[in-house]
Amino acid sequence: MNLKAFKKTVLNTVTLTAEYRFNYYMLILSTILTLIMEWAVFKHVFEGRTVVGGLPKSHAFSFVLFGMILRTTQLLWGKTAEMIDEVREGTYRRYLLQPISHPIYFVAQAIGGQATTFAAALVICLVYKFGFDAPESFLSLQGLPQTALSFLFSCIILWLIYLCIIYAAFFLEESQFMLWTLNISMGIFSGTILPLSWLPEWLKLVLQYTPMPILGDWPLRTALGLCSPEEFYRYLLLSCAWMIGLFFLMRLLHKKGLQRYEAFGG
Amino acid sequence: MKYFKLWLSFFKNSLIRQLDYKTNFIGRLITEVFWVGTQIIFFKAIFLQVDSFAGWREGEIYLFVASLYIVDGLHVTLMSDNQNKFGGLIRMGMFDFYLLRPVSSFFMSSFRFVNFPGLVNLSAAVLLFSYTLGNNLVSVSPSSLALLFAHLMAGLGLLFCLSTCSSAIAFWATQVQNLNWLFYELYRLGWRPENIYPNWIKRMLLTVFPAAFFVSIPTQIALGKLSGIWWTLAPFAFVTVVALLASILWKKGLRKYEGALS
Repeated sequence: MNLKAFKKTVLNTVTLTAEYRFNYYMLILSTILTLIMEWAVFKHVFEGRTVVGGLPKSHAFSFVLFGMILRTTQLLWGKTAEMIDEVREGTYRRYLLQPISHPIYFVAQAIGGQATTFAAALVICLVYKFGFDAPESFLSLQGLPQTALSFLFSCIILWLIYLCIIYAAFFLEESQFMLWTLNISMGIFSGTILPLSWLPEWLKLVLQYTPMPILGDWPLRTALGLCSPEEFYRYLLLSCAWMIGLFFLMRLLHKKGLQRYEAFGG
Repeated sequence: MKYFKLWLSFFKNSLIRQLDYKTNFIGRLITEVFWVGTQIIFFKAIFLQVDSFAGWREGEIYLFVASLYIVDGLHVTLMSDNQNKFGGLIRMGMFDFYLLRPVSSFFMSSFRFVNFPGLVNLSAAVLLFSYTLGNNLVSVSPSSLALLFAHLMAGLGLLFCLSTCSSAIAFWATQVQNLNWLFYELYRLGWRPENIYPNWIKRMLLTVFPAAFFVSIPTQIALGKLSGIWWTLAPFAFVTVVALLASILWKKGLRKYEGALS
């Protein structure tokens, strides 16, 4: 891997993203509105109750806050949608001329594009942890490595899914609908809007066979200190299996897609 | 009649355009099914934990969700695509071509495209209404049901006028993508009953940005939670005021527009 080119891409993306300041203001506003909307629901559900579906009332706000932070930092739908269009419109050819491969370029763009969001999320977490009435177990020092690991793995899995969706466009021409379906369903099915334990049994059973719980439930409950060691290691194994599977699927789609691809310009 | 015939041609044309890309069409139907599913699962999950949510029982919430499907389904099918494209029309100068047509430019830019996957929401609404009323989860008299539909149409009209006001800002601001985003975020507040929110948000949803009148207030009137002449007439009063505002903004915007091709 060309590390120098990777680093340059990350730094370049950070600069480019920072130029669109209005997008940040909108993101902040949208985040605040979402936080109000979701906390309002939890406030009413927890009225007169101390524990609901395994989630203690003391951890309810941390759940809403970290769940939203998780979604905001992981999601890359704008970049993914742009790249799907590039495959469809034939402008994908520019990635073929770059010194780094497209998947690595995508990761560099993801890190660069989300750098400010990551930094903001870190500051919010620290302010909440030390400035407000956060529960002891929320982002505790002992649980920090596990939280970081689960967050990293969940990001890798989601980004691999995004890459698979981009490369599916080589075959379907238009794969935006997959991206929209993923974004619409991720909040509920990954357990970042409501705890997975609240969902109907049949749905929980179905979700076990998808990577959804790894994307949200795992890092979120680990950060809250509500994930038992057995559960953590089970998720860790599962996430490794999903990463390997999705990596090979992504490679296959990319390779076969490029064979089909006919760029403009001859 | 002339406009209705024209709209029917738009309808046919949009259907042909969308069916040209069958995978995408089916994919968008799937996306809508997921949206419909997540809304109902969200409330189902809550009612598996509690018996009453902010004063709403399970059946009442299903009536609320079915009403939401109607308003959102019609909005997605008839309006949202056109409104999202409007900023681009102004920015790229394509609005000039709308001005040259022998019909209202407002009609052309507001109803040119029909988004068929939005009809999934309407089908879901029919199913959910049938389930809720058929299983007696709530009791709503036929007259209340008729009033509910009238109020939902007023809610839809209000949503249309508010989004027209938001789109019309493109005449001055040119780049309105972020404004559309803001509008959508505010619209999303109306996807939950307004009485779950803190008081200041609730007041905002009843006055400055009256999203509570899209779905929540009509459902509460039908359920008998709100009564009196004020609540019965308020949705129509709001739609009249906002329609006037939208019309003024549009006219002023048209005067401001200089065109890109001139």
